[in-house]
Amino acid sequence: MGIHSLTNAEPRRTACGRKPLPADVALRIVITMPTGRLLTSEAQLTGYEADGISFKHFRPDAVAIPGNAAELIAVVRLLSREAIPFTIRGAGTSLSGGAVAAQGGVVVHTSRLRKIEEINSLGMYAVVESGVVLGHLEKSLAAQNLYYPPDPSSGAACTLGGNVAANAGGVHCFRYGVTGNYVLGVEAVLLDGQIVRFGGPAGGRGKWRDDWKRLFVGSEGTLGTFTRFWLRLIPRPECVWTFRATYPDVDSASAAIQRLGCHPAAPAAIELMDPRCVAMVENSPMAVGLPRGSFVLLTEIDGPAALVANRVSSIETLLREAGASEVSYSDHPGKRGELWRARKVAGGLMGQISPDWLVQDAVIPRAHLATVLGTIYAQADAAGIPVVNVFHAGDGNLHPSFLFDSRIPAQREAVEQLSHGLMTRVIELGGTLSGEHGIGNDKAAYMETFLGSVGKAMQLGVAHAFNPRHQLNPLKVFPERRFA
Amino acid sequence: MKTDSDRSRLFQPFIDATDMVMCCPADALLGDIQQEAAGHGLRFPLVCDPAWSLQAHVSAVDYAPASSRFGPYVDNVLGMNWELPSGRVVRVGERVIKSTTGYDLLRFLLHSDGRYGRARDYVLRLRPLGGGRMSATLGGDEESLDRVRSALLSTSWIHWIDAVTLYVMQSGAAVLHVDTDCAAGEEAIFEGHLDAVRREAGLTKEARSGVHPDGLPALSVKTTVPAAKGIARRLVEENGGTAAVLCMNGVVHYFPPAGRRPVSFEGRLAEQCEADGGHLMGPWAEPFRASAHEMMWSTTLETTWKNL
Repeated sequence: MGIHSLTNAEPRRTACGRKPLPADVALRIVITMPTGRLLTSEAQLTGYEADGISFKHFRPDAVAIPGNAAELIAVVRLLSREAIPFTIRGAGTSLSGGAVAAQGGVVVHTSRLRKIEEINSLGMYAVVESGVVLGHLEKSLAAQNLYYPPDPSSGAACTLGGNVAANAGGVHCFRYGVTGNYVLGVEAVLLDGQIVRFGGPAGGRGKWRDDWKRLFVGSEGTLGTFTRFWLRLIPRPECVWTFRATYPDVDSASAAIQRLGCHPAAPAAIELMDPRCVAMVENSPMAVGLPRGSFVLLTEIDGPAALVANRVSSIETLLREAGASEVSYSDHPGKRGELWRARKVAGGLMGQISPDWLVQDAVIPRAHLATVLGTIYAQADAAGIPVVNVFHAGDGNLHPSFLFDSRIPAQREAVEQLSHGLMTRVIELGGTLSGEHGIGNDKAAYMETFLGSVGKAMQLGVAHAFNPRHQLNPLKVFPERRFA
Repeated sequence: MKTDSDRSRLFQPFIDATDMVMCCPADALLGDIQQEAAGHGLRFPLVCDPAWSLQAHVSAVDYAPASSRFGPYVDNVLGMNWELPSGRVVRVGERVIKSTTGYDLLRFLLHSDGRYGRARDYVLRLRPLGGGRMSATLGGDEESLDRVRSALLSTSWIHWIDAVTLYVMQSGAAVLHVDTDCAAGEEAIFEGHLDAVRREAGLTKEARSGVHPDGLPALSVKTTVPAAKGIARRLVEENGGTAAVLCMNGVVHYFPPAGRRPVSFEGRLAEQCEADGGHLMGPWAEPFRASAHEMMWSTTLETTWKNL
């Protein structure tokens, strides 16, 4: 696979190649959304040309912001009829090039579909519109002692529509699972204009023979446009203990991760920061006094106070026996926040110290953590690209962040090459290309290598059933998905 | 039999105690799987009857009693070797516990009832075997049982309890069975909590065990949590037998008396469940007639896949 094949659409930095919407279509969109907005000026569109991969730009021809679900449905039907490619976008926080107009057309922004329609504490589910911000749902649930565990780091901004589209994860997935484990039902408008509900509060198939919602969760906006979800809720943990342990080397940290993974206390989170990440934090105004050169492991156990309290000493012992040079832990909310602080500030610091950064996402069997980290260091150092690692170690979910300047072509190409090297190694080890960010257009080129030709053909069959012309979010997941 | 040209992609039988995953043939008996996993200090918790194969479980039910803590089969089967109708075997899914790579064919195909092929091997997510066990059967009046059930489900204790199963029996009586695997030494903590909840509701602990019927249910009903008990009662009142309500999941496993087959009840039941986004499955669930729209999607998949 050549470097140049890694991006499957030519990014457009300027408006030069942009095709404005035909005036009559623009007018009809405006009429369709009496309470919504249509953005067409260059200045307005600039804010929609990238997602969390800030250095790849795909400027849309227009942005439609429906004011409510009915307007969203009407706009989708109109765009579908007019054969205009379109991409649904929530908060645009995806990290895979998922919510960008890779083939131009219209971005449909769902930010105004933000109603939490129902929180049913008896049935343990919530009904939400697709543009509800995850953090808002979380606040509403906390008041009722309910819990929706998926917690991507963009939780304060990201929408549930984006979470379901990417099958988002987060820190507490090791025990609680990812978004897909909590989706009971989805409602979507299809390209033929039909509104379908797959599942519902019961979380089964509903009036369908097959469980189609399984295909829609994680479909990255390529099969239909989400309007609302039924989400499973669970009781909020009564008590949480956070542990932070430092290790002198990757082998001892890795030993602790393996033992935690098999511990009956089933930690909710097992996170690891590497020494380069620790150095980044300690060299910043956000320094928390971590020993330089160390691997920092964060883990949490939660549940009823009587049960969790009984497990604290065994977790501490485990962490120390694996070779920890220091172990701190607490169940006090303020102190827990301090233990997490270095982990929480790492993402923001990357943006401050580097013009650009790319956070990759891949999952490997946990036994290979040390080996793969070694490979990442060796390849990044050889390419002269700084890399920091802070990731969901319990899941084997790597997130190496490459820091670079996208204005320097050689650095940009080096980062593409590093991503390629990582994905190749991940496939060799029996891992997978994405744990929680999705494929988007950033990793579409690796799909055939990963799936094989038959596996890929099976996958494309799904797209063919719902979106045969690839009008919806073209050039995502598979490079062949070009709207014609 | 044709196989994927990239044979190396197919899963081979293995057990990985570090990552807590194993690959086993689809027709492996759950009892054998348990034995194999236990040798590594692990377990696969979703068992209805250890004498039946995993494939038989997946055909008849999508939840097991321990789904209360671990979720349905689709959350505990990570990958499969899948035989397409053409005879070609392809890999679907992963051997890691987390993935959002492409469309989720694994979860779609797992309970697809043979329409698009069949599983030959499963990759399973295993869990630590704690070394301790707490198991109790509670008897009493229905209101008291409801209070205990509700108390157990509404706090984070439920995250740590394998199963909270209400058995509704032909006699009209009901018992609540609570069961969990836990770390050695934690049994007393679980028992203490259960005793406190039980005493407050005025329930007695029964000496009997083994209330779960042998075999797999004839009918599995997926509905909402609040609706499950009522459906269980109706099934038993109208048809006899025993119904097991998996309280946390809104699932009813119905075990009819030998030789009994319901006639008219099922249609109404299916309508009620489907309205809530639920469904019926198992040998007693009548074949589902897909709508024209669904047939179009299914046919597209079948046509694409049959030529692979």
